[in-house]
Amino acid sequence: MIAADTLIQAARMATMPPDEARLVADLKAGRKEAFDRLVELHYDRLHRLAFTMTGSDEDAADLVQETFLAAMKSAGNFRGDARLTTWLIAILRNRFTLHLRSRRKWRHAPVEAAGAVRAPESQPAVRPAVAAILERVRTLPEELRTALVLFYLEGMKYAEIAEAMECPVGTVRSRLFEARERLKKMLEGAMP
Amino acid sequence: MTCDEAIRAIEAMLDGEIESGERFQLEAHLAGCEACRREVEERRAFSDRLGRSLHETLGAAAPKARPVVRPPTRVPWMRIAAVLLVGVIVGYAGTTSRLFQATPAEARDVANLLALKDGYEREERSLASRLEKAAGALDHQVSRTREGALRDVGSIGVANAAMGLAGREPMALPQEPAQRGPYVARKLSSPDWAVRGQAVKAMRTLSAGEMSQLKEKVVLLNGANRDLVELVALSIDPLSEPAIDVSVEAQNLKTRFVQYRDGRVRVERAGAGGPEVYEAANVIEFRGAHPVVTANLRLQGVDGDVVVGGVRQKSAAVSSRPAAYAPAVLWGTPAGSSERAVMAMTYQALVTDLARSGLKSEEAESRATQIVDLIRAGSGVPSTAVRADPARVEIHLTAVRLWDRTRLVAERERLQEEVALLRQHLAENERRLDYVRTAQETLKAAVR
Repeated sequence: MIAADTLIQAARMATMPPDEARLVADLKAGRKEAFDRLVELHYDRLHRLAFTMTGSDEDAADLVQETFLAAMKSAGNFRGDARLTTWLIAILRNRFTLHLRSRRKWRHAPVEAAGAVRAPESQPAVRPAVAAILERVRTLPEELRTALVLFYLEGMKYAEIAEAMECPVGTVRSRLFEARERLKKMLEGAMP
Repeated sequence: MTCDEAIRAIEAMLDGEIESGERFQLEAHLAGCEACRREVEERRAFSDRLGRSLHETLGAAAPKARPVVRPPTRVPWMRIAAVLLVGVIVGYAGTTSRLFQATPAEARDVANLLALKDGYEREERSLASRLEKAAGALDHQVSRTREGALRDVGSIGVANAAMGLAGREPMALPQEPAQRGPYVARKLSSPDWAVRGQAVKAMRTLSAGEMSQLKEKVVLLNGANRDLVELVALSIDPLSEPAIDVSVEAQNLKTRFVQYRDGRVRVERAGAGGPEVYEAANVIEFRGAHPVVTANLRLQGVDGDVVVGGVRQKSAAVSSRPAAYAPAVLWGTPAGSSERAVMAMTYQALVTDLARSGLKSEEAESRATQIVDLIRAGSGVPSTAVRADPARVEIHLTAVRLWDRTRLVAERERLQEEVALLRQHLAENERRLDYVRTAQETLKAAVR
């Protein structure tokens, strides 16, 4: 049985892009440069997702930081049967849930921050109609919001989203459907 | 494939995630269903716009300066130091880049609005405590007034004040319909005015059946609440049976005079151009609205106790309560009209009460007019002026001047709405307080 598991894992590692396979190996070996590279590759993506969850830059930065630290700590457990992206997203979501349970700090964030849409200062101001959409997106339950962001912003396939969200592919499909249905109802007449 | 299944399949297809078997079924369905073919285009457009909007808002949401993330080492204090260092670096980078910017006009607007909001909230708290005190005094006064129209005026004043103290959250009612009436009855007697107000508001959501269950609990309620429940029950369930129904000759015309149990008056007579019908909510209103018919009928008296064509008609079944006004006042008619309703109700209650205490109807009316004029002279809705405290503006300004423009603009919009809501609520409660005082004066004047 052990031999079979190892074989399957090796096969999965083989399907991983070579850069990523190397990075995973370095992470498991505890190399500091690997950690820097991991942050460099995935920071923006995780921050975007964390921002939709928490509704503020500061909280998102904290959440991402915790995610990377947790990832580093458990790199040895990374089995290589998932992509690094989906593994990190799964950790991020777990950290977010932990916060929800323990501190209830994030729970109120989407509502409080709903009116405070932020964009980097160098960017032109976000059009009000677009800001209104983001506001509605923030009112969706976390699992619907995350599915939307992973699909539209990260360009992930259903199967990848399923892996990141630790659920069946069919659930991803119905979550995206549900999210769009709800938004359509909320946004009737408000779309740019 | 049903249309429902087709719509889900269309979304998967647009997402590029449909399997060949399902695609085949979908295409077969689309060939014969025009509605679903339209759905394809609509959903494609929606999905595109959603994607574009998300990219526009969140695609660039990552911060310019990425915080330094360091892996944990084996020594905990090193990790603590690293985290602290990150905090210092991020904090420093964040402040130096923004500290020397000039204060944008939007920041000043937001700080002003925040200070204004503080002012309104403070004023609201102070007004709420005055309203609570006045409502408590009126409640006590009501419990010492004999039952009748005047006491109703007081009871509605108490309920009106409670609604103003209820807050924005509606009361969560039990799932089981049979429990709702008794539940609201219990909450009506709550010592907490906010809960009491929520219960008053909840009454309007009860069905007629639930309302009658609430009415069964009426014996358990204290003075003002008992009257209120009876009035609401009266207004929900109009008593539409005639209590007085007489035919008289007036100016050689056969005329029918009807007063229903809820006080409504209806006069029918044969006119030159066919049958004519005149109606009003009660006798007093009728006499005001149709003076010629009143003169022809020689109509005198108040509800339940009227003289029609020289013949006295008495009916205990006419409730002689200002039921027709109760819903209008209770459920918060828009600004302006509620005062008139309150005054009309007060006047009617005074006339009824004075007439019952032995005055002739003309005397009762003239005395009621005097009292109402006295009350009017002594009251008037005060409008509290709320201004932004300059010291508070400065405090808020230090916090918001570091925000970016988008956030400021969005916050300004949100605050404008919030302040408008607070202003509206404050004005409503000022009117409620005015009503409570009017009711207090009315009860006092009637005793004199």
